[in-house]
Amino acid sequence: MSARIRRSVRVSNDLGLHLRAAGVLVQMAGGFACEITLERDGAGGQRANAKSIMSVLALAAGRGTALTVEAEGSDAERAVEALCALIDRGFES
Amino acid sequence: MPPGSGRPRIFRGIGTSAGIAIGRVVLLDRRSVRFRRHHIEAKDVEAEIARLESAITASVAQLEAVRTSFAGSAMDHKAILEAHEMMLRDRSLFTEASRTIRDELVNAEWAVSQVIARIRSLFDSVADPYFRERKGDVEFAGERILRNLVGQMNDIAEVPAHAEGVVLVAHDLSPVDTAVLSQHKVKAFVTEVGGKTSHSSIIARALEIPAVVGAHGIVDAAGSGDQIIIDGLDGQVLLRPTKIQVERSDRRRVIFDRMTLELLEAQALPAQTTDGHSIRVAGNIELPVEVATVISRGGEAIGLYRTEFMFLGRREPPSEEDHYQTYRKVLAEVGDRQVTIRTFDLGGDKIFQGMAPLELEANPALGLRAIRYCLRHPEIFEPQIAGVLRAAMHGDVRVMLPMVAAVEEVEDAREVISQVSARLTRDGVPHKTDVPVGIMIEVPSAVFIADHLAKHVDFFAVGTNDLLQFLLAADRTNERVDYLNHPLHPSVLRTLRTIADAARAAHIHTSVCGEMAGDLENTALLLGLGFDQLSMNATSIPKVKRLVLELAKSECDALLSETLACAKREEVVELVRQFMSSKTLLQPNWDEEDEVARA
Repeated sequence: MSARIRRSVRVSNDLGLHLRAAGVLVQMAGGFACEITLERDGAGGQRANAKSIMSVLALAAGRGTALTVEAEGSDAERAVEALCALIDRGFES
Repeated sequence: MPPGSGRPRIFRGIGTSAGIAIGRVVLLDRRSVRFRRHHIEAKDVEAEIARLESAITASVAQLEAVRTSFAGSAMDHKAILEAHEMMLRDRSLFTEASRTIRDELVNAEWAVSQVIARIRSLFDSVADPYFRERKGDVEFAGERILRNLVGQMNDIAEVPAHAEGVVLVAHDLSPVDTAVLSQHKVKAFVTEVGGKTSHSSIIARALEIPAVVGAHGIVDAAGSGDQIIIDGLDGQVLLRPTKIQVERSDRRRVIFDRMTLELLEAQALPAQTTDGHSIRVAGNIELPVEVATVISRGGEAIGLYRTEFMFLGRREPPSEEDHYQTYRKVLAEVGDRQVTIRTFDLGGDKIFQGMAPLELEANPALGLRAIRYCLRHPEIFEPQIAGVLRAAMHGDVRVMLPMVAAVEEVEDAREVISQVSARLTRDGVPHKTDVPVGIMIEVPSAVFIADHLAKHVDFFAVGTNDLLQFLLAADRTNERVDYLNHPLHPSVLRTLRTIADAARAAHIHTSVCGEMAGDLENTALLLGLGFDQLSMNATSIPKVKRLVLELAKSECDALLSETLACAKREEVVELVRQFMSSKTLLQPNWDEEDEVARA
């Protein structure tokens, strides 16, 4: 199965997608085979490769940023699920 | 200029890590690395890329060596070093730099500097100061690769010792610098650039040493061996201070250290109010590795262990043995502290590979999830219950059912638990038969039958995150209505009172384990309501404990009755704000200065 999955999520923790959070996210993303992209919602939404920490940091996703997590590949569903859950939890771990 | 000569100078920067230190300057000279662009032949492209690859490998190895030798308990610091390692390993950096080498036929140094310049330009347009400062992190990663390419690695190996203690003065500090420095007992540092959220500041706070950043011009003014005072409280740096300045700073240092000691003591003490009322301050965890942090911050129990993460990276649901081994790992770390294991809150929008395919639901937050899902899926629920009952042989374990909306659900879950127990007994598997069973109160229906539910369970735990969104009918993922989800809404206080009263009447244990529990704004009200336990993120534990030590149960009760009479959230917020303004929290008491001077 190779479907494209998209889901919206909001960054809710105080520091947003800060350095450590980005590290945790990229590490988790790296565990999946599929391609994963984060996109800022809104016009001209900037996109980031979820497996590149520099790319994720440059999104500058602070608290309250609405993002769309998009994945394509065999484990896309699981990847989107896990990443959205991580962001939802405020990267607590 | 020889040490100690020259006139006194005052620099004003930003104090980013509290505390006062008096010591001697050690200057760290960190001129940027030099290289030129040069053309390479097409036949040398692969060799150039190989050179790039080995410079990256060497850089990663250097960071790894620092990180692993860094045995300190400062978790934040390790995490930052890990993030820097990830930047070096970032494939997009390598891919783009190799492409530049190949397409433009240039040397690796030039290619790396181009890629780094492009990445840092992404940060220049960012408005948020925290993220803008991250370009500093990107530059450090790039500079390390460049230094390895040109063979000019100059990590600090040794810091000269000084009897009065060393204060590091630098233009900027890389995380590697700070990691190495922390092992050399540096008393404080001051840099010319950086902000509250630059890594050196974060690390200084983690190591609990004073730091000032943004002290422009200090590198040129300071000489190694000069006396220097760093005041991380007001961001002041006194270079070559006068005798009077030294004495005054020393008094401030004594007062600050006194206060710090108090926080440390608070962390170790049981949380008890000035009039002798105790409340247990516990931590929330998701993974076994988080236990250590909760304990080091003074957590007296694990009040909420979210187990959904057991599903991550699995193709099959976790087996009874998986559950048993995972919980045992947690119990081995907590010692005699209590652990409350919440059974799976799955279903709705929380789905994992290995779960039965779900029907698409229009409203997943109100759908087949948590206890509803578990009761329908014994193949997932029973192994978890069996794992919990077996693990309970090795520690103080409670089991907690999420999203309970009806008494029948508790009866059904208890039936599953006794059947599992009977099966384990038949098979001769050691397990605990009387593990306390409790429920999360997070659905409004449960609030109104709390008195009935209390007869069927051993404890209540209020999950404020879900409870708020259901109570106020405001989706917390919807920014347009999220403003309603405020814990100080009068309806929330009344709801909490109903729950606490029902638990008290039935003599069962109650806790609060949503985000509300870790916010100092709510502590007094939760104490007034009479909850037995507050469970929160590890980082909030010391602050909440410290606040509890300063409160009297009687004043909390009074505040509660006042707020319960309020009609609007703003009125509650204002009453709480007034109440909190009389609390010293963690402000040093400068009035003691004269007293310290006399002593």
